[in-house]
Amino acid sequence: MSKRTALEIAVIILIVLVVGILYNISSPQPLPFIGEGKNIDFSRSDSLLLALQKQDSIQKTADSLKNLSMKREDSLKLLNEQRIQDSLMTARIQDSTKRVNDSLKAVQKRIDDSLKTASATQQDIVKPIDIKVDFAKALFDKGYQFIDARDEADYSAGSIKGAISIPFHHLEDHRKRLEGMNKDAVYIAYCSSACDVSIDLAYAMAKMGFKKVYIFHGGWDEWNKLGYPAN
Amino acid sequence: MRKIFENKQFWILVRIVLGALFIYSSMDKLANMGEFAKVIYFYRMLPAGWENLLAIFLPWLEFITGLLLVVGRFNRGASLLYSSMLVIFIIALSQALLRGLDISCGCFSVKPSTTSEVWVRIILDFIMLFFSVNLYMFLSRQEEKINQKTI
Repeated sequence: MSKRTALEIAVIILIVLVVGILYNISSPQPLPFIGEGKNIDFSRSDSLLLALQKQDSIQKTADSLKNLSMKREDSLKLLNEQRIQDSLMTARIQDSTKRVNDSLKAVQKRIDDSLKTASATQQDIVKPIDIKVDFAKALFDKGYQFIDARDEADYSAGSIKGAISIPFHHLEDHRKRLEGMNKDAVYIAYCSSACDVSIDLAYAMAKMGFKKVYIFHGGWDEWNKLGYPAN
Repeated sequence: MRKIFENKQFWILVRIVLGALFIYSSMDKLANMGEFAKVIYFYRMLPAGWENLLAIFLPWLEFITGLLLVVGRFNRGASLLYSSMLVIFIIALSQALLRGLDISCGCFSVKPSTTSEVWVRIILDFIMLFFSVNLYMFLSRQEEKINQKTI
């Protein structure tokens, strides 16, 4: 490369820098010279998974307590009948049955309260939440709707079982379909793994008024690698 | 074929066509810098946040290089820059395809493109690179001849 060529390149670059800066500054929507980037925050993924697991275990405990209480009531009834025959003990047994029932009711109330708290953590999500594969699988098991943000060709080649295709690059073609979907329901957006269309789709949905949109970052690649249900 | 490649008129035509292509490809990017920044981000070649810098300056680099080639000023510098940009574009497109990234090419516009369209762009970039490198070499030969004559 001759000196003249190097000088020409330097002049061109200088012109580009000056014109670029001036054009950007005078533009009606100037771009910040350094963008914000896209930060992925998985901090809520684990806590939400924990809440979901807690909800499940509380539900199980509630069921078993219910069974236990029914058994206890039956046995208490039997005991009561037996002891009624012993006239002296009747009043005391009725009193203890009442006390057991009261304590069971109190436990049931506490379980209901904690169930409400656990489900409240999942509600009122406006900003999409970044989630990992374990929580995504938990949501899948609960039957929530997955949305494939990749192009249709990629979706056809393989996708999460039951997922619907809404390619972000063709969002406008699917806007009507999105408008018709329940905005209070839970949706999980995903793409491959090294991609951002799921993030963009999730935020576009949030802007449209969807309240509970999750972004599954591992995407199809991670899901497929783990051998989870697929189409 | 060799005759054509030594024909000055032929290289003037090549220079104008190459320049016009870059001017055309820069237009949509200049009109939609924000969208173009997103396209660059999808390539995942730059640290997060740096895509804006490229979105601001790259379309102007394309436009000015293209314009200089069309009007026939700073030809050697412009054709060298042109070839360098094409090499970078080919690398960017290829790595994105190999990594399976969902990219929107952003080659001639900021509109989304399919994987097969990206392959076509890579082939087109290679063709343009072939002509721009040969244009640079032709211009260098021309300058050498002029220098020898003056000596």
